[in-house]
Amino acid sequence: MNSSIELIKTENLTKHFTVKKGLFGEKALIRAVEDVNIQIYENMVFSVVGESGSGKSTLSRLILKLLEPTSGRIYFKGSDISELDKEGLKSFRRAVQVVFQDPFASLNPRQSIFSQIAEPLKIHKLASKKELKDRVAQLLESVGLKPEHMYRYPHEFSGGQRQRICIARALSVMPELIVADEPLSSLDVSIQAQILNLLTELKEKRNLSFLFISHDLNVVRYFSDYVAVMYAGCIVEEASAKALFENPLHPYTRVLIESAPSIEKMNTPRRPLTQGQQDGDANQGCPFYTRCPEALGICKDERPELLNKGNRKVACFRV
Amino acid sequence: MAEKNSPSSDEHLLTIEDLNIYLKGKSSFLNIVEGLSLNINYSEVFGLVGESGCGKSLTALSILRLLPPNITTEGSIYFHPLKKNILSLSDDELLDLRGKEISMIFQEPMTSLNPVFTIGYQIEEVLRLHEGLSKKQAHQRAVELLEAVKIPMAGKRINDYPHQLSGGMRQRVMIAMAIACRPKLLIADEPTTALDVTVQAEILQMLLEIQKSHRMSVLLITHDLAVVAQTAHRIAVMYAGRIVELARKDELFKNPRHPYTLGLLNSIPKETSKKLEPIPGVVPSPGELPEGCKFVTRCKYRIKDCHKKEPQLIDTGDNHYSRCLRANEFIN
Repeated sequence: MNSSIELIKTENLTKHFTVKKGLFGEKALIRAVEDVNIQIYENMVFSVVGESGSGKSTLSRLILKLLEPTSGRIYFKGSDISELDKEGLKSFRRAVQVVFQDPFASLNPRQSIFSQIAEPLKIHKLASKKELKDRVAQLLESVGLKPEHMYRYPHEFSGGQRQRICIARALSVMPELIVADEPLSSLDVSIQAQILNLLTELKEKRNLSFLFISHDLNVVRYFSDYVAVMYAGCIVEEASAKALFENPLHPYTRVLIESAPSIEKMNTPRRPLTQGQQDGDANQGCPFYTRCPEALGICKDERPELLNKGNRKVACFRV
Repeated sequence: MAEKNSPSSDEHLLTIEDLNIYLKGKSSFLNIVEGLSLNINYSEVFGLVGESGCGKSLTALSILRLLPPNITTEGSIYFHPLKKNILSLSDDELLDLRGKEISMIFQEPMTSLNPVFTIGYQIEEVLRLHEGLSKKQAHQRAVELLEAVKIPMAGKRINDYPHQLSGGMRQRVMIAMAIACRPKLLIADEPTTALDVTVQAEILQMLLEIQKSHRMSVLLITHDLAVVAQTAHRIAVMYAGRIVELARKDELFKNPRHPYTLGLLNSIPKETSKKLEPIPGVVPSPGELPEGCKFVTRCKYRIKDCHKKEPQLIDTGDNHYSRCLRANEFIN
């Protein structure tokens, strides 16, 4: 995969939030993203999995430049996105688009579908006034909607259709990377499959890359090329989707995969492998130490580094 | 009709017969749940599965008579231990039923707990009301209950307010409250949907342990086929307000006999990376259901007759019920 173009590269990317805790406003530090180094290549689906609070959405927002990192750098095609000038930023915004989880909240209820899809085209001067209508019609068709629906308003569409509209809007500016943050979570199973097929088709036809955030491991396994597992802000394991699911090395990855309900394993009782939940405050030692079924003495005091292991990376002393 | 056995059978805890739920519109009534019949047996986990809007939650709410006033019900819900039809109980009788004989947990534990009382107070309230325990006894029992749902340091956590607990812990408190009076039936409406997979696994496991030790029945309502696959004994699949298939769990997944169930199973991404076969189209809204079979517009097995008359839910053998004209063709 190294032969293709590198779209996104992060270097020691870190984001901390300070929050007030308790009645007297003692400040606490939340390590949402801690020292993350990832690369996303062209035509690649890079998935991030983890439980809520693991920092996967914060990571996606950092890469979208919707949040400023506490430290570390993000490169888009080799240039640091924090140093972009106005023009550079505009072209970065064009090249990196986003589809959010809730299609009800991400469309403007007072604007017609046409004006919402046409707006990015106008801003980036990608279509003349005359061409606009045809371009919007094409985009709607490419996501499986009827062109004559373009003058309707968001409330006239179902959840799945709205998510298609959000995808059409993201596609309108011919992006290179789409950040999809739980794009299927608010949809029913049968509609999820429709959207998943659409995303797969778009990836192949348009040579797109995805940063795909999801908690649904079945979907991730199906759609991804490469997967990073996050826990308490850190990447604990990353590997090709096949390698990760067939042979998870990090105890947390194993716990995640084995906890997921599945129809195939319906008659083997599910044993919960861990107790408790992730603790963002643990700043010493392995972040998974308190829940790890295989913890060693060293895990408490020293934080394992994310090290290469063949063509994958794992952060665990056991491996 | 499904299992129209005599309502006096010893096995049955709850018998729903020909349940219809109507939503009062401006000028007409919309039939949201139509002709639903099922039995829940003693110590059984019964899964009710379907996509949003199929009527599964309304069915659950109707069992506890929790539907808002603009929704009316017809039919009968016979609760065998009381030998009474829940739909014709008086308000006083309902008070004794809710929380004592039948209790319920919901998807979002935060909105189901009162934020201004400690969790201990909220559990004790149930015990004092239904069991007539003294304050001290109720406190004692509440600690035991929190221990039963595996809340660490129960004696200390009992004084916590809901906001001090994580989502998983709140759902545990809800379960503790629901099982406080040892109900015979627990209705769990998407109990783990808002939770992470690792927490989901813990909660479901615990729920099953309690179900076994209390010999309680559970009506588990969910959209997640994988969750019912690992918990339920029997499963009913709902579509557009009707049960379209009902069978024992192994039966249902090994040999689904309704195109909708087949479609749902084909929509779940499998390990192999072949193209998914989603069900085309969307669920029609209750006012716009097609003539004949309600799934006909999205069904790839449809024949002419499907448009004419709605098929009945019939036993295709081995208590495997399907509402499809071609059900017999799906039998392996």
